[in-house]
Amino acid sequence: MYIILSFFLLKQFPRNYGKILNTSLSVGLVLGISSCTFFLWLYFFGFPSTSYHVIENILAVILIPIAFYTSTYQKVTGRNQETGSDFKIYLRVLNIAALMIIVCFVVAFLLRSAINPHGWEDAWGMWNLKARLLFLRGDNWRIAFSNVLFWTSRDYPLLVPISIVRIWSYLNNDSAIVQTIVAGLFTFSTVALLISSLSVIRSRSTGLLAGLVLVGSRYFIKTGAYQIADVPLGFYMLSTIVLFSLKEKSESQSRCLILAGAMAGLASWTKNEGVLFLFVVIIVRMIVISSDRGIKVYSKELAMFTIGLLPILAVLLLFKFKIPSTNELLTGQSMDTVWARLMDFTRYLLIGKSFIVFFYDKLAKEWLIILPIYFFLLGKTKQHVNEESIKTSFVIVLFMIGGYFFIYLITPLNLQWHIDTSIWRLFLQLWPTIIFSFFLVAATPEELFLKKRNPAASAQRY
Amino acid sequence: MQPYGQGAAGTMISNKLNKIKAWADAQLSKYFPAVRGAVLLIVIPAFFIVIVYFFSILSEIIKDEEYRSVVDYEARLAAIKQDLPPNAIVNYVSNSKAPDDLINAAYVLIPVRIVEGLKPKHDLLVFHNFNTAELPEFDGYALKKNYGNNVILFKRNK
Repeated sequence: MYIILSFFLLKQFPRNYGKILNTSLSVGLVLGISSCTFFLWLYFFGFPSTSYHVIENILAVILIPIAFYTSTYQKVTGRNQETGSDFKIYLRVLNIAALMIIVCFVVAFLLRSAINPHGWEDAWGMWNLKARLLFLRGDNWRIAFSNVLFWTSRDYPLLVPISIVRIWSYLNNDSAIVQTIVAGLFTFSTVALLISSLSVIRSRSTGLLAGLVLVGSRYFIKTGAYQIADVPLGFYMLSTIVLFSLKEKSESQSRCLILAGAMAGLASWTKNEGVLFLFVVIIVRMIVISSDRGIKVYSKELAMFTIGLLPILAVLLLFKFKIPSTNELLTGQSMDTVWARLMDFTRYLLIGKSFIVFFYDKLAKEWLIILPIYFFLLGKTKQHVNEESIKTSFVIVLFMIGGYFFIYLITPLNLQWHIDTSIWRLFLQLWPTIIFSFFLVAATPEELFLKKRNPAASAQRY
Repeated sequence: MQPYGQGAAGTMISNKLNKIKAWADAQLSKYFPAVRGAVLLIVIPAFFIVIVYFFSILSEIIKDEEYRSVVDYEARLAAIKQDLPPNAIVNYVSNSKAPDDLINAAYVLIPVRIVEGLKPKHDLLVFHNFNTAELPEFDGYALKKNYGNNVILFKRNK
């Protein structure tokens, strides 16, 4: 499956950084789609065994040549400018520095995974626990959703646990290394996707710098090896927004939209926050596209988006409606209690303060100082970057933060405890997208280089 | 008031420093023309953050202070797990004060499912001892096997 979809995606975008872009997107797409098919088999036919593996591999063999012959390299318009050999030396130095830092990041991830092979407590208390139950209980897999395991957020979707179980089913054992591999695939794909997408949309140096901001974010370094679902969710959120931005530059817009729909669907199949993300994407695109180009254009876009989304949404709905479980945020809620919480202004103050303190003090202390200085030095880009892409990414982040704020407002759990135990994960989900949005707007080093070398030519160019 | 001579020496040092700065600037400009400030602004912090994190993990390994509770549980409960029927539900009693004690045990003992405490009673009871010197007794249960690593299995006799 991985090979087919890699082939299918591989020729989507230009050759240079496009290969990394295609590979990182296909890693997420393959893990996500295969977790859906595995779940469907599990639900309808029992625990997938040899017959599932045989069918999956036969499909792969049939689809590889089809994917190979139907895909062609796409041209991306309005890409980064030529800067000459002087800049290439600089770019080479930046490449080497970035490579060294990323190698340290990878080694740190491996070391952390070696000493904590089961991840962090949310991993073994929820995601890996579900994976083990699904695998070791076989046909009695529904036990993973029983009341005995009350702490496991039983209504959370299954992309991460099933991705692990699927590989275990091939290996026929529950080796902990698989959990590390899945966590690593999502962590490194997020970094690769950020670097390669900005390299394609903006410039190589911008892509590398954005990647360095991400790997240099303390919480991201730690959480990658924690084996929790927030990094995969962040990956799918970023993928969706990247695909909307690539759509504006790609020849095959419908393909990008179908893929964006699939990625948004997979976000909702990863965690409940992904369902919020899916709603936010649909609403924000409606606002952005309808206000600029009218409702008809939006309807066409939504139709393409839905083609990618629907199959995954069907799996999610099957899980939500057919596997009996309760949502800890909705259970016991009534209109009266929700209204009382909404009217309690101390909750607004507490949540607002926590958002600011956490975002500044914990997640991105250094970068919230450095990135504004960077923006001050380089300024806003004068290149043509699609306004709709910029609006989409920024408004989605704002709406998501608003959504998280609202969920904290109405939570029946102890508010302080709920914030303390979850806020860092919520911001982490958005952090790759925030970095992407920032570098979409800031001028590239190439722009500044050209401007300083030849101000007149630079002015003409833009 | 500066004494005569000290001002001249200060100027000389300042000139030297300026020369060194200009030389360093020229060297850096070879590799980071025009945009080096902005780029270094990101590269240097990223480098230090990753390196500091990298060494913090190394120091955890060297000092053996890393947080690995579930790994310890896995080692402790490995023997008893072999003796439990795979699809059983067993009672689990522990005197640990750690908040994640139940979760750790539940994860490690899968496919066996555990029920915290003595209600409802099941055929087998796992006692995980962290700080009691004496062997405890549980009403309705008799000792089945002491694994010697503070993990004891009881069997229901009533």
